[in-house]
Amino acid sequence: MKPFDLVFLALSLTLTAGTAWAVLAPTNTPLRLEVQTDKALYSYPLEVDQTVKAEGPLGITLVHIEKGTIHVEDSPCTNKVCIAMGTIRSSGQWVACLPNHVFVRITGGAQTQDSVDAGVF
Amino acid sequence: MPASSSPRAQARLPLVAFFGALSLFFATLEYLFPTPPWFKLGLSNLPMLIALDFFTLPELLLLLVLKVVGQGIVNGTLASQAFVLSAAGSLASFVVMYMAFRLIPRRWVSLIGLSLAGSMASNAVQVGLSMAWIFGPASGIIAPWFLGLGTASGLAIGWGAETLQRHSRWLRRVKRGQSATA
Repeated sequence: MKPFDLVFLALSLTLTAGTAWAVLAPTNTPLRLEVQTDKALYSYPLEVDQTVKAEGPLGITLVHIEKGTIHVEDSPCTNKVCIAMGTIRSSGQWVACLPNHVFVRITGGAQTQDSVDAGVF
Repeated sequence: MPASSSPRAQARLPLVAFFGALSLFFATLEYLFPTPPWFKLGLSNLPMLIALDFFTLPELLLLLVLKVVGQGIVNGTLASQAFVLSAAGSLASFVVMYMAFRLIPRRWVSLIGLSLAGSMASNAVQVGLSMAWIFGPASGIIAPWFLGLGTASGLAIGWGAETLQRHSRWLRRVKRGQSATA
């Protein structure tokens, strides 16, 4: 590789790491579920089992909180990728339903040594 | 269209069309690879990378239009917001790759670096547009995965383009002005 190849590689990795830090860095606050829709950002404690209704342009996306874990139960989108993404339970993990403009993520929590850096599918 | 203003440019139009067709072929080839629905590998960028070396700016712009519109048709996104994202990403990628190609001597940068720069520009613009306009600020949670996967695919596509440029006898014939399909 030539010098500027390495420069562009370093820039790409820095940009990736920077956004990862901005988005995924845990804080020392309790774990919460954040649901972003076109209308507003909603926040829920993970300790209370409940089903959250998130309204998007296609209809209602149902997000289920159960024993500190979260999964999308139902969504009016066509490909159902958000449902297939399964259950999330750690700070920084997320599920997105792009067609219905619903973004679900877990925020807060303390940084632990044994936590997984990231999960993809 | 400036690309067809002279006899020489007229003679090269089929070559631009051939590279446009190659872009569409690679865009279709992407379906072979399992990726998240919000991420494209960018294989169709490979012909553009190779073409930087011997197409003029008008010819490259024509290839860009063929690539963007063709991809919209192949992917079925021509009349959707996804097309705007894709077009903006492709334009940003082209501008950055072209500027880097013109401003940085070739002994300091290979197609790997140009591919990485283009991939970074495309993905950054798409994330920015997605957050500012289409999906809202919360879509930023996808950014690290989007940019990370983009870096990996940019590296792989750049390596492929560089290898092709070094070893392809077909490409050497094309550069010498012979027929691309002979």
